[in-house]
Amino acid sequence: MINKTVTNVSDACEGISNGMTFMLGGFGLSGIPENAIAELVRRNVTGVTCISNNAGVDDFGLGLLLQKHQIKKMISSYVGENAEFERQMLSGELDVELIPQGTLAQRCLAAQRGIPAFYTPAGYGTEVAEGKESREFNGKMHILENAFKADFAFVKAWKGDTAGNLIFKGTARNFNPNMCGAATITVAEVENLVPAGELDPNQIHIPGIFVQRIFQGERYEKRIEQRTVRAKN
Amino acid sequence: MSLGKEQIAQRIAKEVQDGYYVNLGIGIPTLVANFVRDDIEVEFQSENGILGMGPFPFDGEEDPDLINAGKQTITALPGASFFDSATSFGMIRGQHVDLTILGAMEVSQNGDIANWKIPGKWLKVWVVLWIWLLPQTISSLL
Repeated sequence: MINKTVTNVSDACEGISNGMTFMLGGFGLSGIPENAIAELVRRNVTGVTCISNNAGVDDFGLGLLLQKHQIKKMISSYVGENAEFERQMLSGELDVELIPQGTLAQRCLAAQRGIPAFYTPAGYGTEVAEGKESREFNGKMHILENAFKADFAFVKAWKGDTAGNLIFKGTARNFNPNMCGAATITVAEVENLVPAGELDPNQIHIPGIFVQRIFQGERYEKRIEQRTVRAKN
Repeated sequence: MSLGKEQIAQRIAKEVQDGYYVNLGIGIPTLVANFVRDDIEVEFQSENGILGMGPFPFDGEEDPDLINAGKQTITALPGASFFDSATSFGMIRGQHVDLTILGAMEVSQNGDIANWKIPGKWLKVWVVLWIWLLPQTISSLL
């Protein structure tokens, strides 16, 4: 079994540099690679482009990188939870590319699977289609969307093994599986890292071939953005 | 007289029919589930990767790994499934979902929706350009 384990987040981030493009899993604050984000802040890598569905909140997730002006460009579908993001975008400090969420996911998946581009009807006739090739299929217009290119993908899983196999939990799965193998180097951080052979092969969501480095995160805050409960009757 | 949020949700709930898979967006749509008749079988889908979404959890039972599109804590009903974002939008774009209920930023009397941004303005953005791919779409003002 090929061992993908690295000892800590610092080793996992070996090779990152200013100006790179990163993919980061997560939806809101759920399933974000907390430890990798903390390391990117610690290293103060700057001028980076981040492909991530959201941009965190002011004081957590990618918001931590925004605070320190480390991000040059965000490629996201929804960025409405972050006042600092809004400020930087309006002042022109931050370049923002908004992408329909299904297209964002599919562009990750295309990169993972070696598909250079694909047609989708989503966005045809809107700003999203500007500068893109279009073509009719079955009487409906579609636009050509490219696979993403990224240097590192940072993903977070619930469990993983030393071979890099991953299992996700609940809706913390989201973009994480789609980003595995979609960048030159995929770094997976997990809550529980076990020896190869301990996970049931039937239950594995992402095979280790899509992961170059794996480590167990030191700690997870797993912050809830909108705690919503109902009363017990 | 304008309708309150609960009244809008109540009205939209009447569009939900037996056997429907229903995608719920952010805002008022999340209230709709409260008003769906209980003599029909419906499964709620959330774009972040759950089919079979249940009500909000009881106090103390919140799970940060279990949220809806509005980042609110939720529960999973028996028979629920979780999946990745590409699969989730595959359900939607592949037209397997019967109905989507969206919160919208701006709606015209013709049913035109400005949903991911109001042209020329940078405001809160919500990209749901797949909406028109669905056979039926009901939108409610946030």
